[in-house]
Amino acid sequence: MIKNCSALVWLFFLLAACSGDTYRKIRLDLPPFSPVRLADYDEILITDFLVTKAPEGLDLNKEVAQYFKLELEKKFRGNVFHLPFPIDRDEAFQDAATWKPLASASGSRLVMTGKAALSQETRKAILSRPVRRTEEETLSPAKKIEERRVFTLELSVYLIRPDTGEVLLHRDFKETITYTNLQQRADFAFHDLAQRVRVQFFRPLLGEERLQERYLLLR
Amino acid sequence: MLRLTVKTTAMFLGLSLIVLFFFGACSTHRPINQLEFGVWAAEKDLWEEAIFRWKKVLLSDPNSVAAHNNLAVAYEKIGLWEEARKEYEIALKLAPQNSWVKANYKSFQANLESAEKAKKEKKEELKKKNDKKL
Repeated sequence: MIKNCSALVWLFFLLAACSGDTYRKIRLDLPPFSPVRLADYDEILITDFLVTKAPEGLDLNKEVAQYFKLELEKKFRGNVFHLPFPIDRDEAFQDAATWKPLASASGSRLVMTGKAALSQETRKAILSRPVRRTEEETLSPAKKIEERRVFTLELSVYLIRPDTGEVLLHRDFKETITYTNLQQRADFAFHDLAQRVRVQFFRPLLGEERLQERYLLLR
Repeated sequence: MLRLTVKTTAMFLGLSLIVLFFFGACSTHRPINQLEFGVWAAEKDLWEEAIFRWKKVLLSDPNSVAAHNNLAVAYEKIGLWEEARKEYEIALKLAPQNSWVKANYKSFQANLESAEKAKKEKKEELKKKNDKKL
């Protein structure tokens, strides 16, 4: 009887040892939905941008094209290049004929283009700050007028399939930044503003991944 | 006599526990079949290899819930949403009560809903633009 019991116990433990998990829980980075699947393309051509307003001494077209080129090169596995292809009117973005000459033979080229404007102005700001109460001073907070340098970047970005002229993605951005430094350079301000655009534009476009959990089955 | 039997049983139990621990220590997570090999590959982030293995499983067993489920996860990982949906649906058809497949599909659907929302927004945006033009 005891021998049988022992055999059963042995059998139980052996079975327990042999039976593994039925699933494996994994954490994986899953790409979110993107209206444009960059993986389907071999190259991205960045054309000139239609510049409607830019501070003196700043080549905004060059800055925008270079910025996007650098950012895309970081994540896109294919070729990214800039081709001087001037855009002279707003309607060009919707005009399929404009983009057909840029199509590649393989049809796996994507065109990035758009419109850009960077404006700067000096604004006066009323600042109020509490002061120490002394006998001579009033109880109201001190008011002071100070000047601020304000830059606004307006950017419209288009992703176009050149062979069909179809606009795959169009996003408009308007970002403003304020500096206390009145001598703030426009190219520095552009880069600060472009960073903000990058976050909004590249996250869905490049499919920046999100950590999620899934179960893989083993049997 | 009774003491002896209790002692013997305790010894057996003790030995069994030791053997069990040894089993645990010696067993590595070595894949032993195509399905597990795929899981092993997926854990090493080798998703193409994993897909290859799970497809192989389906060739020999087209009704393998595990292979369909795992393939769906792999397709999700590489961004093939439609393929992932198909595989999940097959897995759920084969095993509607499988809680792991159900959990995966629920998370997948949540992602898909946000995708559909984005698509709708894009359509509406285009419609508005066309209306403005007219």
